[in-house]
Amino acid sequence: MPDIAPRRWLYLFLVLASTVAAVTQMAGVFQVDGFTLRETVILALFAVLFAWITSSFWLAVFGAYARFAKINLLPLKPPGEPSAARTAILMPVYNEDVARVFSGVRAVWESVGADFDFYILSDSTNPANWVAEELEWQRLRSDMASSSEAVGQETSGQDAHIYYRHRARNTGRKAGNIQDFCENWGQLYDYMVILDADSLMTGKTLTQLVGLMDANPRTALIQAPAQLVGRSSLFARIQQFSSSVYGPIHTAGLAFLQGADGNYWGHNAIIRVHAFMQHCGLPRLPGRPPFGGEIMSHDFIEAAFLRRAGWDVWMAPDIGGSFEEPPPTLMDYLIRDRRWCQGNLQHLRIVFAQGLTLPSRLHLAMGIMSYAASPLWLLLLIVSAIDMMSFNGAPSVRYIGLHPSLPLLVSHAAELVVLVLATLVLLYGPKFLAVVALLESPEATRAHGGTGAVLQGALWESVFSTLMAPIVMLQHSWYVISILMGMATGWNPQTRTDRALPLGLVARKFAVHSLIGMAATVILWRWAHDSFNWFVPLLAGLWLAIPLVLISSSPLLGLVMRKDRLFLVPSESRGLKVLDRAHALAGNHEELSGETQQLVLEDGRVRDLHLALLAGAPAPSGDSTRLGVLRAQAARRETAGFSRDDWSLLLSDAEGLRAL
Amino acid sequence: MSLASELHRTIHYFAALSRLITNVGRATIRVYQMDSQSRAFEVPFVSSLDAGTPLRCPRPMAAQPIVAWTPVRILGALFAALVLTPVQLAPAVITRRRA
Repeated sequence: MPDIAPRRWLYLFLVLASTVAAVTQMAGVFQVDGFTLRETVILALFAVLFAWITSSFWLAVFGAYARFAKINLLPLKPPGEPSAARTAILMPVYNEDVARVFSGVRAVWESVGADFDFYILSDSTNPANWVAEELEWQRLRSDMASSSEAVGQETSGQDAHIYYRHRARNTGRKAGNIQDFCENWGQLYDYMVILDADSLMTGKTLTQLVGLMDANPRTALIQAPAQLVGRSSLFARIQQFSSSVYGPIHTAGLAFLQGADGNYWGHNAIIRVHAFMQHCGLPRLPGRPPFGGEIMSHDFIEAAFLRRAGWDVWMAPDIGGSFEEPPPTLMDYLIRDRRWCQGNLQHLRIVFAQGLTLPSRLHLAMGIMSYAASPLWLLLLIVSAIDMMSFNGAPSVRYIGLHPSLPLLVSHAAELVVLVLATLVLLYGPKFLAVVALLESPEATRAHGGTGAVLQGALWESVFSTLMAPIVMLQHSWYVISILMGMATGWNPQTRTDRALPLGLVARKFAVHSLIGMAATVILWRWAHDSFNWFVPLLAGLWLAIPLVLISSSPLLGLVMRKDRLFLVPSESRGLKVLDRAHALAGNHEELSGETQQLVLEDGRVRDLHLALLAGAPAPSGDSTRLGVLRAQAARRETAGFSRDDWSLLLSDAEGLRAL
Repeated sequence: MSLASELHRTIHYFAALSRLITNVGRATIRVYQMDSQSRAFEVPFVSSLDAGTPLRCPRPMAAQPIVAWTPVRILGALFAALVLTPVQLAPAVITRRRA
């Protein structure tokens, strides 16, 4: 195994050297007439933020080097004989689109065969989802049993072990869901693979991961980076393109530097169950949310705990066959970020925990910084704007005795231009390197639509991400401020389907961004006219916030661009068997009409199924008087006034349902 | 002299062999500690078509400690490193009586 310490030292040196050079340049500009308080603040913020973008830049450079030099980024023993290990594939779901979940499970099962057991671990609180999941589970099992020969594998659908479990109380959210699996069935398995409701993995990749775990007993977790695929809105297709083109050098850089000190991204990873059970029980942090309570972003912490216990955590950037779907719109992307932001900021309480390895602390710190950077950028812009507005032209003439001391007007345009150019290189250099790395492979270039399509895609993606950046900056800044003020977020399911957002909704959500952009424009135009042009790229994103979100949410525009081969990715140009199969199954899916939970009362077979699945679940812990009333009303089929909680209570009551 | 003490002495006359045995032993123990439990998990697998899951095989997961470094704890650790560790490393005092 290669010694990665020299790489890390070189990386640290380059980041520090670049930052020191830039800060020195900036300080040179400020020091001519002495530092003011504002300039000191600007310099401090600039140092932190420049170090942040420099670290991303050098990460990409290292990744590009690893790609060009064809370095083995997963120096583990290769898989040996066919594995005898037991592996469970877990799909935790929470009020998700039922058709999507079960289509995904079936597509993965058809790809991998009967060597793996599947667990659909439901935390759904919506009673309609709960019952629909049960019915879908039964349908999936019967479909697979009856169409075993259609699969085209040696194994038949009758061999399928696809299990379903619903938790009435979703303690610990997703981490608690996984923990519940481990505590009840973990001992049956050597490994578990965690999938998300919108993620897919191919059988080849899953088998390879199991082989790697078998051959490397010190390894507790291997993360297979997921490529974004499968959506058709313009926004999602741009994300897919950037993931496909820029992702490889980013993950290569990470793998090159982190070695066995890898991280866990919550899904599309294989985990050694007994290591996880022994070391990854998550504590409840003292205090109230957002900083106390349950740990929201559990994945980083679990990886840190495994490293603390001496286990290896790897990332396999070249393994392929690992996919997930991006959020369909910028609005959905930002809604997801609210939860992630709270989870990452909560890590402020863990980053200094005793016993963690330094790389684990860096993973946590970088996660925090990915959100904390936004308010820092905003602050830098505000202080810089104030500084520009308060510039009074040439300093007044002073006298030494009777002789005037003439001010020395020195132009700093050259230094500032160098700094701006350096910043642009740091921001866009990684994209350039990624495009060069992609174009080096003729096959990959063809899969992305050819050289012209790649260059055009990268250009338009850069324009879009530049316009999107100030919107995201404002939104993240608000998230950080609201979290620091103690406002916690709930646990809402993600919207995962393509849809064109209505104008009214977008206008309501993004009017604030546009108004802030307009106000900033007026202020800067009036009081910092000479410096106004510096702010135009930032202001443009805010002016265009509403049309940008609206237009980019369009699936139609996404399809038009796809026909023009713009933002084309391999899963679109060549097809992707597991994804196409999941989409075909979801497309042919027969929707259950009406309120599905009613079927438990009206259809004896549905009730029997529900009762069978309730076996072993704890009795409902709600109000017994209320339960008695609900039972009586259900017996008379007077359920029109039932709330979601009423239904959940009733559906958890095996005794009452049996009496019906 | 018993056979056991004879054997012990013989092995330690060959320092390289002794180191080899020690290292192999440590490596074996490490591998055993890292991977043995997964084998112990191979319990009979019972599933019922009527239920959604196999029979439960409960084993709780203990919550892991998260103790943050605070200035007081850092000072305490520093004290431990500066004072207690050298004390532990100091050669043991061997009294004549014991010798």
